[in-house]
Amino acid sequence: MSTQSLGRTVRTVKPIPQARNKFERAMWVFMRYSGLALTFLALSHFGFQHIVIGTHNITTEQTVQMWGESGKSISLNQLAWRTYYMAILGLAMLHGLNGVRQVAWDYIGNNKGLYTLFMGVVAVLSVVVTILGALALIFGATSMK
Amino acid sequence: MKLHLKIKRFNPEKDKKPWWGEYDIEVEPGDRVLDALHEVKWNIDGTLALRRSCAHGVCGSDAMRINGRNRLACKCLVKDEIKNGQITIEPILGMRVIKDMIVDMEPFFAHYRSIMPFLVNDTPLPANGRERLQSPVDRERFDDSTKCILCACCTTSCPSFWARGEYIGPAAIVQAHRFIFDSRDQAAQERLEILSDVDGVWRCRTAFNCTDACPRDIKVTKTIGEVKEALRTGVIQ
Repeated sequence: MSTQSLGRTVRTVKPIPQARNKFERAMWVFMRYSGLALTFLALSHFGFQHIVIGTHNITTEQTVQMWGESGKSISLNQLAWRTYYMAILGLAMLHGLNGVRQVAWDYIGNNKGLYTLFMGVVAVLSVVVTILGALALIFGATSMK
Repeated sequence: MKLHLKIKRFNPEKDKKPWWGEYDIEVEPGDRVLDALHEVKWNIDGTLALRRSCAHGVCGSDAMRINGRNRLACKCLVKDEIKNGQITIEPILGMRVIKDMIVDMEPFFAHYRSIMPFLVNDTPLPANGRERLQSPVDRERFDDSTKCILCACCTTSCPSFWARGEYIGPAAIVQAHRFIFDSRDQAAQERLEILSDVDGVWRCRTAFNCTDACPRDIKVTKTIGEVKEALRTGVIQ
């Protein structure tokens, strides 16, 4: 089908059927949006921690104050900080994992067994690292005093 | 001026592994790198093998790695490339070396053929029997991708292609773009299905090496992005 827009012919194609294409297409879109979001999230984190708070003032106590203490109720402000850092953690892990998947496909994609094994190990490690990172975000920080 | 040329040499029939040939020659600053290679081949070592045909940046046969970047030897001046009196030259990466700068281009052309690089239009010709007319705006849409000369500078500068030769590569995608965005063509669906393959357009990581390497200044990465967008939306505009 073709129409005109600003003097230019516009045509449409039927959806491409391959299942893999849908996944790769979704991953492409995800990488673009998550990359953009991570740029702002990481830069604002850097600016807040190193400039607003100051490099020499970053302590466990300050983190407890920001995120709320383990076992105690949290304020709305602390919930916002936890959500902010959960977004950084989640997006960074997924963005990185998909990057590793693509590079792994480049180098060992022809060896299906090795590729599946490698990605399985990477996925398990990613889940473990994410859980470790998320513990304090879910349950609150613990004071070192 | 004096020039020290360091050239990666390899003759699979004689050499076990590639070696560096080093040559000191006298050149004019305005000479092209191709002239320096001719000086070596014609006056120092006739066994040096390289492809070149038009020698004026049109045929695209003398693509090589000059100081680590893919360039056409006939479009680079010695004065622009020389660093500390030296220029380093290697064959383009990711292809089997047949001899010295000559690589086996067949896998590259196989990828090119796979995207059906010809106009497909089964409707009858206009009543006057002449060409299918197109508006200047529609023609301008794919102007950039018509400039490709199939030199392989882009494809062989791509890290994804180095790692995986099955990847269709930037040049084939640019060639597909040339027809997909041509309002007279009717095979966009087939081409997009080919490019949506596992080793199609999604293997591009937007490294921009291809855009840097293109001797025709085609915005290759942008072109690939437009094909991805067409695949995502199903709209070609």
